[in-house]
Amino acid sequence: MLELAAILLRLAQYSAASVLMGSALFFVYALPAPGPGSAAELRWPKPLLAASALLLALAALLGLVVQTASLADAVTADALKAVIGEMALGKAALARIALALVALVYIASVRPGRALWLGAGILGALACATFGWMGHGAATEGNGHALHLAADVAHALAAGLWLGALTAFAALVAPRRQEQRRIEATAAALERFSPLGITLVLTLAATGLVNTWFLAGTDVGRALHDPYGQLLAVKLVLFAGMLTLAVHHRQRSVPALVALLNSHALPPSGALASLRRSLLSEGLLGLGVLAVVAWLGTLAPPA
Amino acid sequence: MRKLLSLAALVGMALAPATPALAHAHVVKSTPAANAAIAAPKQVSVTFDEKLVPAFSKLAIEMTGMKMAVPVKTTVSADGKTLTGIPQGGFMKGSYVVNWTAASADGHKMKGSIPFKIK
Repeated sequence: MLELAAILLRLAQYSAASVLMGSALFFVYALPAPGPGSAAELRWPKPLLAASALLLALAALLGLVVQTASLADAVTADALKAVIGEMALGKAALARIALALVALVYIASVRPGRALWLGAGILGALACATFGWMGHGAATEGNGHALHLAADVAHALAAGLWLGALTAFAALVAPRRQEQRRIEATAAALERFSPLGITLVLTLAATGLVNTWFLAGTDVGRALHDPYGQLLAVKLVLFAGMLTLAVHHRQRSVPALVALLNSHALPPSGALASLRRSLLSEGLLGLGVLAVVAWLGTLAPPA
Repeated sequence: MRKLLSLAALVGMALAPATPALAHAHVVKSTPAANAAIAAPKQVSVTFDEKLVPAFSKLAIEMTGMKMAVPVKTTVSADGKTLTGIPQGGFMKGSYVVNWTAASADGHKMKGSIPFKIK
């Protein structure tokens, strides 16, 4: 029961921090700053970021309590003090709660615009970075400590940027009736995201390799006999599915949408609907990856 | 397209979790050793391959099947890897077990036991 709660709370934290960082920064680098197609013109960005900050603060706080309950026989002030004072994961959780609360206040008090997106994005990035101290990255001892920790932090940041952008894309293509200029801004954002997307995937792969080496070793056959290795394989399959959809977007859906927009033909509702379906599928696979990662945290790695 | 897909597959194979895998400390040594027959010990100790969190790590000694605990004062060594228990009461002849609880830095708590006999 406690373990299930820990997994769900971790999933909530990953998702919320990814949206807080990744979606907020997406509004800065992928959409026009003011005017048509900008995030400031849309109704949902500010509430989305505020809800993410609130969810992150609550899930991180409850996560800290559940973690303490699993370590101590009872959740007492002394036990909480020990988790925060003696363990890196306790300090990281405290930092995450503080960052999420600062982000919440900031989002509530700043008008929609570049300053809001950038501020929320930076606070979200710091919150994502604290995931590096949540688990094994911080527990590796000796020479590998800094490398494993750096790989963990980079992995969390790259994953958050990808999933946050995905959330924003899904929200952008969600409305069935849209003005032409909005669709044009979305198509331009999809094209602009492409090189960043490739960089993120390469970062995830490189840092993922470092982590596998630390946690599972290089013996693939042996790793697959272990529940940790099997779950890791599930994660890789889900990730491969995401990647296939991403490649499909890049090669097919986006060029088709752009061609339709350029030809000034009928409203590109068919192309948009297909993009909506595949972005939603990619998002669900992403959520699946986060759920598997949250679950992996409760298992012992083979190495 | 095919090239991109095979690159995707390659990259996918390489991907792994960045997050909270748990270290799970393993026992490397214990005094008494498991199933040893010894005279009443002045102290018992269990050494792990990773640093422990002192606040949530401890030893207990119990007479097997009797639910009779021997009070123990637990300390953690300077390097954080060894739990040492000093029994605060006497032993009778019979079967005992050292029950250990060890929390590692990644937040996981493990338990185990080491049976031994007093001759």
